[in-house]
Amino acid sequence: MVLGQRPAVTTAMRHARRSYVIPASAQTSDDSPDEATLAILKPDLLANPFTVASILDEIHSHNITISRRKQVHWTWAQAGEFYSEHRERFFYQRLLGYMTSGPILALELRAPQVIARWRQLIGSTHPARMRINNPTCLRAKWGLTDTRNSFHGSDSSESAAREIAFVFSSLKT
Amino acid sequence: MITLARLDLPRLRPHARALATLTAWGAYVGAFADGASSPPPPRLEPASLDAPARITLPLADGARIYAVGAGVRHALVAAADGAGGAPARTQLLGFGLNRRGQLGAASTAPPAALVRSTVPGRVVQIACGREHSALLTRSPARGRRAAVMTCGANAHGQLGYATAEPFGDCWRPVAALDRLMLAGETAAKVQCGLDHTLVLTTRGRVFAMGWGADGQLGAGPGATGDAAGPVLVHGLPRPVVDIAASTDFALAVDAAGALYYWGNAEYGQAMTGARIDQVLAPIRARLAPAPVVAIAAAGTLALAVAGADRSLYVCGYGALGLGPERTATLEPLSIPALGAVSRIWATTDRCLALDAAGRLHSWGLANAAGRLGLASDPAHEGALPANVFAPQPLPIDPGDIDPDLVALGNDIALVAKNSAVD
Repeated sequence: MVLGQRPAVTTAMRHARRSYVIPASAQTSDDSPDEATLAILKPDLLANPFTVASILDEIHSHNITISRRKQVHWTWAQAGEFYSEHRERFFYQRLLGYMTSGPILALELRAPQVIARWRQLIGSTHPARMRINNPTCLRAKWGLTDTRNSFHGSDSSESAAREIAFVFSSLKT
Repeated sequence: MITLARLDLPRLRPHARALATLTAWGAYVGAFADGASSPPPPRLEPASLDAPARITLPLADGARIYAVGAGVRHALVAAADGAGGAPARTQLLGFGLNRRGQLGAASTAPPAALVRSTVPGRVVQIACGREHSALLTRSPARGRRAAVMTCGANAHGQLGYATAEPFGDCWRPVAALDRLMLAGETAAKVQCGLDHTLVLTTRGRVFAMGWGADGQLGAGPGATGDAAGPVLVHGLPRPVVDIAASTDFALAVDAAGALYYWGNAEYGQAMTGARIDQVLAPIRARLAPAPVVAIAAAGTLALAVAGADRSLYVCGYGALGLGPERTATLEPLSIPALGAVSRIWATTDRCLALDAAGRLHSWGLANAAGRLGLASDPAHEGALPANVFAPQPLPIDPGDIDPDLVALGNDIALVAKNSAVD
């Protein structure tokens, strides 16, 4: 992604964007306001400090600020609360098993449109498909399997606010 | 024939000295390449090798390599004095990631540092998962009984100790297995998925331990829990003679050459004509050519060598080996370009096959850290290919390959050979 080559965005355009999910490819104005999202580097990534360092470098290279970070080893109950929206899905148990298998690194990211941009950077939750269809995304490079997909990114501003509060509230962790 | 771990090795000629060679490619092995400079400083990740090359590990003079293994960025080489009969102890040299002690000893050294450990008896076979490792050993003290020893991550019970310890940073036997053996039965082969462990016995039974959320343990209908100790794989109709696992599903071949499948099948790799989220007990795969003589599990695809002509069949999704236009199939397809295939190996999204002429062929997705061993792409001269969709021969002399001493890890591959010198 190239920064600093963006067309001006009008106030009206910016206002309109607030009402729907912005396409990840949308270009932004340099002066559009920062938003925050929750990124998580999942347990498999934390096995390798070199991988973590490489991913943090890549985040910085996209002019995304890491405003808070926290390493935490979730209990089953904490992971269950975080992923409560998936409670009825068939993969819920394996998701919790994976997310509680070791420590995770939670990052609060800040940049214009960072919610959509981070999700574009990590790619979809199918690493094998990403290796074929989107080989430069983070999950293509570092994801292992559909379950061990190595990254989380909030899917909306509402989710981001809830998830950031969940992770960084001292009461919850 | 079936690629069971050999329980009894042919001896070297009397008075001959063993000369062991190692060829490697992928992550970290550049640190051991012949002619490599001194190890990198701890803050730098060790160099990889984009193509197979000789590496040298500090084995004792005359040592023989008994087994090799590789997981997710960790690898193990088992070696002992090769002159006499079965060694009383075997040394293990490990390198790579070791956060959970998966190299067999606690260490905070960087990945290019060798971690040493020893186990009683002779190591017959090594299998490695995401952050755990397993050995099959034989020792005179145990008579005809083999032992399975494990170390590393135990978050799901994959070490089989029947305890809630989160990890184990030294080799310990899976003691519960001894209590499960029938008269005359012992462990014959061990396989690791990413977070579970399978053990095949000489009576054709299969035991599983560790992560079971997708039915990896084959423990039966409704069973998606983890098991901290070995549980019997449910309902295999006949004795099994071979097993394969590397990620979240397993393949098994029975004595009649029929193929069975359990675990995750979301990419249709179960050869049933359908994508299935979770197969909780073994099902028969629909592979018409018979018998099945070799199997390998590659994450989103399954491989089997079958039929009198030893054709290789693939099913599922990814780099099937059939070119970039064909990346998914729900029915097994053969790879005619390989001809007769004698052995196969696989791990997450990549495969390795040994042809009848003794050449190794590599293909797969995501050539990060040179894991495919194909530094140059025939289609794009000079560039390191991201994905390789058809088998490509590796530049390794067939004389340097012992098919029983090949380890295909997620990012590291090892090929060893013992020669006798007078």
